[in-house]
Amino acid sequence: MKSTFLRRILFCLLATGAITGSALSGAFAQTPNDGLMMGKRYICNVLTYSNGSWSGYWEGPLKRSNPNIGTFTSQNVMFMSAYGVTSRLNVIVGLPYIWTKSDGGHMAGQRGLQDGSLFLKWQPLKAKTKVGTFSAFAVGGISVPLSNYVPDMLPFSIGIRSKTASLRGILNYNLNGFYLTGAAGYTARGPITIDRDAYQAEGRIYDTNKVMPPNVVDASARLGFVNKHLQIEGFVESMTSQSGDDIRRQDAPFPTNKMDMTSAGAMAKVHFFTKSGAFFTVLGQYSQVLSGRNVGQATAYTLGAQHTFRVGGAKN
Amino acid sequence: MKTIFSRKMTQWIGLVGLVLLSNACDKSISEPTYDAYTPTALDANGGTWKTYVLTSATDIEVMEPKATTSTEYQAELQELKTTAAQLSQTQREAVTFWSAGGVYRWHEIARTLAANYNLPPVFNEATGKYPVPDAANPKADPKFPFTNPPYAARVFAYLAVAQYDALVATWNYKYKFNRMAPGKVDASLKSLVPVSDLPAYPSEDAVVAVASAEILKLMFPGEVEKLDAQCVEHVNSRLWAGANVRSDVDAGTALGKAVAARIIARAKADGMGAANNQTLVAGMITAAKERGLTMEWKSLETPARPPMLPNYGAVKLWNFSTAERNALRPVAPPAIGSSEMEKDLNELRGFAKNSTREQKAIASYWSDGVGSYTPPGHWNRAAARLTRQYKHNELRAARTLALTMTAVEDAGVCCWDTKFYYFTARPFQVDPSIRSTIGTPNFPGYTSGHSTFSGAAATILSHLFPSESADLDAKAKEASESRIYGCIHFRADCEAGLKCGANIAAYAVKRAQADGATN
Repeated sequence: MKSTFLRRILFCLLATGAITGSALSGAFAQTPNDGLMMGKRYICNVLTYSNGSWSGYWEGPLKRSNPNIGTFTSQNVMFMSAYGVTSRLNVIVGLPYIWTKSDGGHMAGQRGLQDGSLFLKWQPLKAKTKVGTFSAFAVGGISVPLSNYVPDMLPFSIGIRSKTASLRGILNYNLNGFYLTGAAGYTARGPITIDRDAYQAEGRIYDTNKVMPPNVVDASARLGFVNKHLQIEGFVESMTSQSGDDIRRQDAPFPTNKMDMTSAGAMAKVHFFTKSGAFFTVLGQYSQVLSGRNVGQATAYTLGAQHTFRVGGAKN
Repeated sequence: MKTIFSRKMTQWIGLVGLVLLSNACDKSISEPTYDAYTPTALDANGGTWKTYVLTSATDIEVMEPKATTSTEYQAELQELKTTAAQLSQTQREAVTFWSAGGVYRWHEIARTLAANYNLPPVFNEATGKYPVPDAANPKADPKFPFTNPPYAARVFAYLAVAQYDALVATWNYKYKFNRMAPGKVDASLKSLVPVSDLPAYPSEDAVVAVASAEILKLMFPGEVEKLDAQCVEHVNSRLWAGANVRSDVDAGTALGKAVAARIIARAKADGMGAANNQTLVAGMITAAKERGLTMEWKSLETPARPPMLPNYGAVKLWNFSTAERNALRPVAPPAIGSSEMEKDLNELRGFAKNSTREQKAIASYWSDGVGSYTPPGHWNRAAARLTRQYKHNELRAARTLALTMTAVEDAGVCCWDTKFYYFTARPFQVDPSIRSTIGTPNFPGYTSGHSTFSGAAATILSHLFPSESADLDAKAKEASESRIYGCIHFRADCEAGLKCGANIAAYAVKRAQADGATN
């Protein structure tokens, strides 16, 4: 009983984990990469506010600042919902609204509904042993732009309007509430269409309005502890583009760029129960980009509220 | 039960995953390809057409070629056959690439260079200044040149003029000597490209390759090795294709180089070296204030960047005199505080708050900002595409580009003269609530460069391609208005620029009517 409950909490938290503001583009929505599952017929609805900002960025490998951007800020409100179809199959949807701005220069920020995401998460393996519980997961996901936003005015664009498909493997180890989770994923990104019909990339002119953004490999490791009333966790995450060019000297970023970054962070979560067995949660997360290429060195925080309950009432 | 369910789920997720990944994994982007075509006409009188820099088509002497019956020529034919028998795939690809048209390809290369070099210098914290790109050290940071719109306009103009003047001379000698293409001389020689009745000596491809490379090496001194390699490949592609014998391309190479030297002499004395004379700026502001200016333009960049090429307005014109430039200069723009200015400001306040997706797309389509091949490049592409669409021969294609790009450079010179004559502020400076979605260039507002370039290009192209006129005018108007949607120009800037651009190009139209080419 206890373990099912803990799973629910942990899962929902991590599903709302990393935040869009950390990339230069603000284009990278989070993906579910924790090591737990929602119980059958349980649903959690999460509403978060996130704020990522940077005043330094990497122009290729060169770290710099730019007073014509000053401090760049990307904020978003995200609705996320996860549901246990069975105890071994969960479905997750995410819906972000993003707005960007900078306090230097004269450029206007942009805002809008970004890309909706849908994930199916499946747990093929779970082994309880005397030295803890081992689990393995596979997650498949897609994301699709939900509005016709402008994708190539980075960093102000709210995303790059690529349709994506991802596959992810997760390994989890849990011992008396202490857990260690490792995840690695591959995101394939489809071509995007921009408003211009020619653009410069990789040292040449592309005579088309189609742009191919690079595919991305991500990896993360999480170490945490959870009990009935609170949860704390520390994590490191990385994102590595599998191709792409660098931002040129004094140029703006572009969707073809090789955007890489490594960040570290921590989160905390507190739960409040109702008599029915449902509960409300407040959560907070903080993260910092440590190193990168063609991205902003963002500091990001997230505040959120979550409501978890069993569809059709409490379990007898 | 549970096991079966899990197995099915594995298969299902695996399948869906594979389909999704394979769809998104196709990383190829398709672009238009350009094949060789047979020109609609050969323009046999091309050797009599009016040149820009050469005084006549015979300024440069070309030796009479050996007869096709000579042993020397027969040996050259044999060389082509030997070469054709052992062509590599790379050589075949080079033949296909250059057969799209030398004039077309070299303008394409120029647009690529323009975009690659369109990067403003980065502020140097140590010296407290924006460094100026150094032609003697072109590969250092900042790279030389910063190919901003005025610089790009001049690159395209000189490239087109060099090609055109060299080809007028080429046509003169082609029809003087009348030595046919090797495929016409020897039917057993199978050329890889279409062979016309255009005389082959001197080779128009060699002329265009060398003249183009010489101009671009002057304009982009950091690209010498690459341009030399492209030039050699272009020249050789004619031998690989069996389209010219070696003496055709040798004569073309010499002619192209000699003509380019004349054009380069003009470029070195056209005043571009003084275009960035920042010491003139204070006097320009004083003079503008004496004419009634109340708010002088200030750089929107931090730290303030010196204005882009304040003395470009004094650069030598192609199609009219400095006095005529002064006469073309639009009247003063609406003053700040006037009801006309208030109307324009309110329009921009509206777009800053709310513009339609279509307006955003138009602003982006014509943004042509940092990192792009600039508005002159945008119109260069339009002109170059029309030469292919209407199947121009090399000479006529060069003429179209020369008429268009000289009009565009003249537009740039006139526009810069106007900008620094009136020295007016950009919308954001007048009202900081008017933020831009596309980025404001670093020079005064009145008149709009995009509008002037576009008005000029559309006007001369409409003359050359009358059936495209409605489309060209609509494009120019759209380019002009894109600057309003992007909130970086007042409507008055754009309307005056578009009209002035048309007036500027009227001189190119007049030239086209009298240069011997008919139309």
